[in-house]
This record gives sequence, structure tokens and C-alpha cells, in this order.
Amino acid sequence: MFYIGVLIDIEGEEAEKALSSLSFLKIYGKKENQLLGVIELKDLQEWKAVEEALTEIKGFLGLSILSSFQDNSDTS
Amino acid sequence: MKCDRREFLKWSAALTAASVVGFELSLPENLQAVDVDKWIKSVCRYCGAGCGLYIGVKGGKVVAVKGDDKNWNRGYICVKGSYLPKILDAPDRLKYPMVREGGKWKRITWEEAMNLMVSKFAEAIKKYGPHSVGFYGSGQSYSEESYLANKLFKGALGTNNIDGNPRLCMASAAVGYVTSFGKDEPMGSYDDIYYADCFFIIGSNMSEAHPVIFRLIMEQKRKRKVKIIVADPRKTLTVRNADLHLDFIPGMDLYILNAMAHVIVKEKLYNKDFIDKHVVFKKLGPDNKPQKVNFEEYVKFLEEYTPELAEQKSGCPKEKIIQAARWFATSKATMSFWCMGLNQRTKGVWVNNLVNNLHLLTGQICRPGATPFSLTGQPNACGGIRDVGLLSHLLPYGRLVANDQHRAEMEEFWGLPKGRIHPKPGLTAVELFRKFAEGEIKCLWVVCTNPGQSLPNLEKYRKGMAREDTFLVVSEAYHPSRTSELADLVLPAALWCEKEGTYGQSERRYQYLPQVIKPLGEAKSDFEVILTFARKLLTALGRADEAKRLFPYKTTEDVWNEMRACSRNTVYNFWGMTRARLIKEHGMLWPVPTEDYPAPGTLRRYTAKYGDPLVKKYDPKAEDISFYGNPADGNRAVIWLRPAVGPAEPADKDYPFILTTGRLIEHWHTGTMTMKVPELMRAAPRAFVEINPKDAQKLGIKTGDMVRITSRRGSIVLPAKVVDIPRPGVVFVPFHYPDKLINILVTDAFDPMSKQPEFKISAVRIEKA
Repeated sequence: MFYIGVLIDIEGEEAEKALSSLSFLKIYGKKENQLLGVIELKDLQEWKAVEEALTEIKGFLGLSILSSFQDNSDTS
Repeated sequence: MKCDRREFLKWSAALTAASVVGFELSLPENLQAVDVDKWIKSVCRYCGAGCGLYIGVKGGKVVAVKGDDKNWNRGYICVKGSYLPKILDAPDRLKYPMVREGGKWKRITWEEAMNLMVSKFAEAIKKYGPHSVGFYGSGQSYSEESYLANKLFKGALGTNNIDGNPRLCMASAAVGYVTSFGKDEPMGSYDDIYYADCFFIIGSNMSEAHPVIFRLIMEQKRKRKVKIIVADPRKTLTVRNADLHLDFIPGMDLYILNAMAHVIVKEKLYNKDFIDKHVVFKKLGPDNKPQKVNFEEYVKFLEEYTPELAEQKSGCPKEKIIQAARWFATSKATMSFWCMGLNQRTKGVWVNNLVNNLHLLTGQICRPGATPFSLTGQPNACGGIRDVGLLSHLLPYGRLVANDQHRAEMEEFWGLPKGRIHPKPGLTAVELFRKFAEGEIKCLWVVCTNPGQSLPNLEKYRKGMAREDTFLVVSEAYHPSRTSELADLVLPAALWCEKEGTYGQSERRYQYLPQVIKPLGEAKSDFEVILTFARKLLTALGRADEAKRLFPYKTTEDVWNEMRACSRNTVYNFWGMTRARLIKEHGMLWPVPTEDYPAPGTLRRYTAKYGDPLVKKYDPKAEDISFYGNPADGNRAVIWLRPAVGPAEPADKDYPFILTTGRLIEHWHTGTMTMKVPELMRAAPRAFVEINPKDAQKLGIKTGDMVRITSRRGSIVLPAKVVDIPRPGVVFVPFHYPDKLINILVTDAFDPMSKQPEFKISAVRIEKA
């Protein structure tokens, strides 16, 4: 598994609410119009789905990757 | 709060991300720290952007990466970079030297490997002379490694048959800079992104190939509503974010660029004051030699390049060309980016000149936000190849093989006898492999690159590499690659953070990469291998004294210090970048002439007002701007009259489609690293051919159908992806996949000035297989 630390630019409360309900994303903090979260991924096939899901959210402006942690027990 | 391993790793990722962007997060009570023993400052291994990052190590293994918030990338990294830990312990890492014997690979010791290699090279040199051996290097090697190889071949052995893979990716940009401004390398930096109001992106799919740089541009679009113009024959992800898309028939962009200049002149949007002070005009005369002309002749030359003609030739609507010209000229500051789409062309230098022309014509240069900027494909193609001079026509730091004074300078600096450096430029990449295939080059050493997959018209050169009567050595981290499978001897190479050295990226930024972990198995750094080989080879040639005198180094820092000194009296001057400073700082941009010159160095060159410390040295009378790399033209830059010429192999009756190749976000170059990452492979598992729906309908092709693509050089079968990305008449294939060598189909015609092949345009026909 990979755990990707991300910064998400948003516009509006609704976007925050929609993002909070996504199963692959956990929000850890908020500052102005930016959310700090972690996306949990098995592989990049999922990453594409993640990007698509995010893009469809009204008020989602952009995403930046900041960190990545690899689970050592991952043998894939 | 319960904190299992999954939660712990999530918190680790969150806390690390928070620290990068200055978010404050409260730790759960039972979480003391993130899951690493230490973080070590370094740089990403992949593209030429050069993102700063920290490597997280636990128990001697790389387990995490995070962006460096104090570097230009402000902590951002891309998906590929986030998976870097996985490239290090891939199952096919080469762990010990191997020799091919009777068609089988046999493990040998390093001593046996070195002795074999030295005996083969020494025998060839004694029997056939120094030009019978060659070296093919890489924009991924560390600068110290390339400097050593250059000194060995050009300096000690006296052959210029040493070239590097940047010949395939950025040689046209380098010659473009030299012909326009007198010296290579961009004058601007990524910092200009924060000041530009208009971005002109041509021949580059930045959003996939340089995603972090593109992220900074998109941030400006959100914040400041900047304009983005993208010229590309494919509707890439970059295009989808553009305000204006110039769609054109591949190879016909010279018409568009000249037409933009036509509009700028006709509508009087040019900067006369700038032109009067800082520009000369040139064209090629009947004898093919440069000839000075005046502004009026340039205007006359542009007359025929109307937007109507450009539309007729390129297929791009004239209204879009006119709009692009207006935005380019009238924005407060315009920044251009380009990459392989311009460089990998038979008129690559000319089309580079035409972009530079637009900046010079409008004065969109040498101030914040206004600059032409060529992107780089590899992490050290600028610092390690162009700057070090590891191309067959170059010597270090802007010096030329063909220049008597430059050779004399390097002979003196290196302590060589006069006349040792051969006055004739050596063989360039394609020529080198052609001569190897013909048997004229007897021994060839390939380091950190994969020409068995990346050369154009590949079959011809692969056959040459497989010859029984020549000797091919490949230094590689992974085996087999499509090159190492053809070798006689393979040497295991330490990879990325298993060794130390310096990278120099697109914006003249030099960065130090420390050794973080031990090399896998018996792998060694190429620095150690080149140094050992140099000493042993010179000794075998009866020149033991020279071996000691020319190669006395104990560490990479010893070589770095020699490189600093070598740059000192050149326009590259980075004397002030000591190893200690590079370790401390988050990259430095040359020129940095003194050890107390403030970090990060020079963000903008050729302008005293914006901080270039060398303007006054080379042009004391200059008030601000001086193109001091070009004293022959009075420190002025050159606007070139370059006629629009199409590609070497346009589509025709027999081959009615244009094949263009390129990159996917998931993979990097020939895939030797990224295809070791299961996650990346699952995301982009196999090659395909993109076909426009209009073409597919005519040919009765659906997504998933197998399609045969045939050029004059070969044929390949790939699954179709019918998608409205390439324009009608164009098909696209990613070049990453080793099991589908698309470069077999690609023409090896090259630019006569840069010797860079035209990978981007080959005529093909397609049919259902």
C-alpha cells in the first residue's frame, strides 16, 4: 500500500463536504481554501479513478502531492 | 485512539505533508514520530525538472519520500516521484559483473571485468588508433562521472568519439541557444513562472512530462488568470488546460511561428527600442554561411508568411495564430516552454531560433516573467552533458572542439601536451552507432542509457551492437535491458541514492545528491568504475605517469573542485558553488562567481538590473542587458531569418499518416526504472496506438482492435485506442515499452546543425492486423 500526503485546493464549503465523504481520502487539516489529506492507494489504476472522482467534485481546484509512504509489508 | 500500522502510516504521510507546507497538525498521543529513522535532502531521479525532495530511510532501506519545501518545487512532487523507493530493489537489478561466453552470461569478478575491458580497449587503440574506441554517456549520469569520461576520452586518449543521449533529446535546444544568444542554456528560471502573464507552450506535454512545473503554472492560472497558449498536434492534458490551442500538422510549426512574427510586425507590436539596442539580424547566405541583414530585410522575409499561408500549410486556423501573436506580444511578460516536439526535428535548431526570435522581436526577455525556456527530459542533461561538454563537438563550459583557443585552454588546464585534443569534432550519437555497426568503432562503452531501445531506425543499430567482432560494454543498474542484452560485458551500476554526485537541471540549477544507502550487491558508482578504468587503461598503454597525474582523485568532491576551477573563466562560472554550499543550499543557479555570492545564485542571466553578476565583467559599458556570450556581434542576440521547411518524411500516398511518439505520465524514458514498479505497470501495462475517431471510422478500427503500423523501416502490431487526442492524420505511440520497439519505425534523418534525429515525425500506414 501507498499513503500519499496531498494538498487540495478548493472553493466553497460544498467541496469540503464532498471530499470528506470519499472513502480513499482522509482529511487531516484545513487552512483557508486548502485541505491537507492522505490518499490510500493500492496501485495507480486506483490513482486514475481517484483523479477522476476528485475532478468531478464541484469546487475542487487542484491537487498537489507532498509525501509518500510505502508499507514495507507490501509485496506487490 | 487506536493506532494500527495503517493509521500510523497515514499519520506519517499527513504529518510529513503538513511539514512541507507549514500546516499545523496535532499528533495523536501514541504517535511519537513518522515512520523513518532519518530524512536526507536529495533530488528526484527522473525528469529534468529537478524537484528537490527528502529521502526517508529506515533500517538502511529507502521507505519514503517527501518534497523539499525550500527548493523551487515548494515541496510538490509527482506521482512517479512518489514511487521512487520501489526502483531500488527491483528483482532484475544487476548485482555483479557478467561476461557473455558462448552466448551465455557468466558471473565474473570486478577485477576480471576491468582487466577484460582494459585489454580490449588497449588492443583496439594500439592496433587501430584512438578513434577506434568510443563512449556513449547519459544525461542521467552525475556530472563528476561525465567530466571524468570526457577527460579520459578527449583529453587522455585524444579521441572525440564521445557523445551522450542528450544528442537525442535536447541538442537542438542547445544549438538554438548558441546561435541565438552566443552561449547555451536558458537565461531565465522557474522563478519567472510567478511573473509571467502569458505562457506559450509548444512541443511539450508538460502536464504529463513535467507535471510539477505545470502545477506551478496552473496555480498562477487560478490565482492571476494568466493566459496559456499551447501549440500541439495532440489534445493532451496540457492542451485541455489551455486558453488557446494551436492545433497543426506535425512539422508545419515553422509556418506558424513565422506567421506570428508577421502579425507582430504588421500590427507594430514589436519592441523597436529593444531591437535597436540588443539585436542583429542574420540569414544563411548562398554559401550557407551566416550573413548580416537589417530589420527591413527581415520584414520583407516575413511578408510571405501570412496567417493565411500558415493556415494553408499547417491546418491551424489563422484567427488562432493572430490571437496567439497578440497575446505573446502584448502581455506584461511572456514565458515560452518547449521540449522534444521542437527539438527532435530535422529543423530543430531553426524552430528553436524562431521561438527565440519572438522573444527578441517583442523584448519579452531578460526581465521577470519574460523568457524563452527549453525544458529538459533527463535530470542531468544540462549540467552533466551540455555544461560538462560530453558531446562530441564540445569541451567543458561552453568551449568547442573546433576552436583552437578552446582546445589550447583545456590542454593547459588538464596538463596535456599541446595538440592532444583532436581538432575535429567526433561522431554524434547516430553516427557513433553507425560506425559501430560498420565495425569502424571496435570498442564502445555505454553508460547509464539504453540506446538498444532509444535510437531511431533501431533495427539497423541493434544489429550493429550485436556484432561478434566488436566489443560492447554496458554499465547498467538493471539487466537485461534492450541494450545490455546485446553487450559483451555488463557492469552493475549503483543507482540514484546509492552513490553521490551533482545534477544540473533545466534552469542552470546545480544540486548535490548524497549517498543514502549502500549499492545493491557488488554494484559500484560509475565514478569509481570510470576512474579505475582510466588509470588501468593508461597504464596498459604504457602511460602510467599520465594515469597518476591526470586522474589523481580520491573523491567526487576532488573532481567537483576541478570542475569549479574549469568553469571559473567562462560565462558558466560556478566557482562559488563549493560542495559544502551545495550540501547546505537547496540548489544553486550559475553563475555563482564567488564563495560568498548569495544563494540561490543567478535567477536571470544577461541582465545586470535583475542580478547577473557577469554582465559588467564581460560588457563593462552595458547599462543593463547584454548578450555577452556573443561578443562577435557586439554582445547582441540574433534574430534569424529561417524559412519554413517541412519534415524530412511527410505523409504521402503510400504512407498517409504521421507517426509521432512521446511519453505517458506513468513511465519514464525506456521504462528500465518505472517498469520495475508494479503499481506503475498496472496503470500503464502495454503499448498502444492512439487513432483519431475520424480516421478509425474510415478504416473500420475500434478500440482494442490490433492494428499494424508500417513505415519505410519496419512494422509493428499494437492495440488501437480510438480517442480524440491526435488530430486526424496523426497517430501516437508511447516510446517506453521494451517489448514493442516503436523506434524501429522511426526515421533516423537528423538536423544537420544539431545532429538530433527527427523522432517526432515519420510517415506510416495503418491497417487492421
